[in-house]
Amino acid sequence: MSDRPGLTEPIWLRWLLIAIVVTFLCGFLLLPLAVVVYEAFRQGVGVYFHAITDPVAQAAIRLTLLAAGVSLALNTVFGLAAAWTVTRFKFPGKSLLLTLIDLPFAVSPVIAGLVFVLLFGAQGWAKGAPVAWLWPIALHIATAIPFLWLTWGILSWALADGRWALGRRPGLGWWIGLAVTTALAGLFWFSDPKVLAWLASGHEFPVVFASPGIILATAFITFPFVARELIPVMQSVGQEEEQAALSLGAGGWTIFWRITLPNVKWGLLYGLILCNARAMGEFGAVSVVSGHIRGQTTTMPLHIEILFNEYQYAAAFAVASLLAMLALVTLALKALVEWRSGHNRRTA
Amino acid sequence: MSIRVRSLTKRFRRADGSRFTALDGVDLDIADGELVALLGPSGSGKTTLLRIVAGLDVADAGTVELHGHDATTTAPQQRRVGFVFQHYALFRHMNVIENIRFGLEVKPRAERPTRAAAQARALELLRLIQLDGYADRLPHQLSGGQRQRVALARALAVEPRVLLLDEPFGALDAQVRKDLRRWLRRLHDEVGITSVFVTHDQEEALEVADRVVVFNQGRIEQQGTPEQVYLHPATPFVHSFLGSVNVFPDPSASAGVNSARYVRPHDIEISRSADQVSTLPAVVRLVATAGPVVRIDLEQTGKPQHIDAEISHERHGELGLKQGDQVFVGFRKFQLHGG
Repeated sequence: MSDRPGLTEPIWLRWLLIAIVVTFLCGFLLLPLAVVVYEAFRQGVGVYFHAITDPVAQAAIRLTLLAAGVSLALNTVFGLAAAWTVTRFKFPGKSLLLTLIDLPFAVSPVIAGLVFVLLFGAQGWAKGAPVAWLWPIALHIATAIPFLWLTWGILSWALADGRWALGRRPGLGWWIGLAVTTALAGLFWFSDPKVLAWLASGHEFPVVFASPGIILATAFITFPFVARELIPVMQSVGQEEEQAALSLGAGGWTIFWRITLPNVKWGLLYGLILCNARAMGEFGAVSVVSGHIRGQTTTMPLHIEILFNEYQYAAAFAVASLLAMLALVTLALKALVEWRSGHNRRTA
Repeated sequence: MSIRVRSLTKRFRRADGSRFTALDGVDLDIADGELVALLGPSGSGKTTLLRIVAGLDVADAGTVELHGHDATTTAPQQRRVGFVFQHYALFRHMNVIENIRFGLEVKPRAERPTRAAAQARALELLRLIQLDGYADRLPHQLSGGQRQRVALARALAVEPRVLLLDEPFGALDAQVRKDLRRWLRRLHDEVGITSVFVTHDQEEALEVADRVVVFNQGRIEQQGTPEQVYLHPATPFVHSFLGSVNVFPDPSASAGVNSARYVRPHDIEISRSADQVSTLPAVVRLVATAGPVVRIDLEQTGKPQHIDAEISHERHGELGLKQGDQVFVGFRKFQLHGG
């Protein structure tokens, strides 16, 4: 401890600053958390358990976990593909892609939800007679996106034979891969008899006011987390190790699984944790596309809101305490990952 | 012939959009078992050449032949070229033995050695680089010199036919550098693999290599044994890049010819009085006695000509030079380079 005067703040100032921070933390973080737990148990343990075992609450928990799970899976693929594309290739429109990745952060969640309603909703413009054909196409492109990204990635790896590790402009093979996978994905989706039957019939595939809409909205809102976390990590790791592997005879897939991915695993995990926290807590976008059908399209935050509006405070706080617990687990995981990756980075 | 490079050309686009020629029609032959240094200032194209030979870069024009086969478009994996990076590029999440084994493990199934054989080969290489007992260390637990040796072992594990080293000692301390380059020379004599290393340190190139190739602005200025390039520099650039040099206008030059005399500092003679050799009057500006020789800065009287001289401590004792002394300077030896 060096307390040389002039180099540090005076002692009273330090204690004052610490006191302000502690008061703030208590007042704005710990107190609400304590209130949540207190209110949840105020009418007894019986009411608490009744509230969280209620079938409607159970459905909300399941839907939240489903939406978070699917978003995590999709965004692992999206995030890796996006970060990998941005950091390992030179191509025109790179800055545009970076901007697009940030779009979900820039747009208000409510607006994002509204866009989905406008696109896919019963009163949406895509339902109007002159543009009736647009809406199935938009829907199918939206649902085919993960498939597209994945196959595009696979084909470009296979075709480029590890040359991506050299940071070159994508070759002809890459573009052919893109064209072929796009065609394949189109064929796959539009040759599906169910899709054709649906196209021929009354176009009944509920997206808005149904689980697909909620999953879609959640995945959209949480998209930037993984990509944003991975891009700087991939940039700082650089390509030398990949090039070394290349000169040692490794192919593109081997390099990806044995060099690239292990080098960014902590960044990926950190991004996924942030993504998960947001996915479980998302309210705005989900609220717009949900339609609040109890037991069917309510996630945990929506369920809590409904209970609260119906003056069922104990039940609302009981479910809220569960959500808070999930958040705390996520926070603990985040701290663990930060500690581990910090440890790794410091010694690397 | 191990490597045969013909009229290799490579241009890069700078960040500001201007074009920069890294290689300008380079021809180079490297024989089996040679240890060759590519020497030149940064940006002279030597690293680019090395990366193109390894397949890590693609030339705009020209061909690369490896062992008599055209390899211009061969994938880096198929070239059987070992590459050692300046910053080692060790796989940071793998320990030393895993790093060395990597190349053996990723071979096509038909050529892949058994696990035991790969382990045995890796341990054998670990002995060769004198790091027995370091098998379980992670790269960050090693010193720079140790890391570079592991990188070398990793490259040698797959038995490449050519070993390419990009500024292998560039990131190391002066003392480690010296030890490691002697070690590399011994290793080369032991293993006998054709090796090419890039360096901007002339001392390193002259000490280690069988042959030195001097690069400047994307072209080869001169190539030859260390003696040839040091004692008989072919161009003014080589003369000034390999050791320091004083440049004097040539008094015997006829009008319109810009030839000059190139004199090494240790070929400068200093005496108190004018004689047959020492004819140019000069003033002593600075005397530095620390070091194996005494370095003296002079300025030719009446001209803005700066002169670096090196004399032995004995000679310095005889002369007893001080700052501001009037002396006479001459050349024991010089070389003419025309303009």
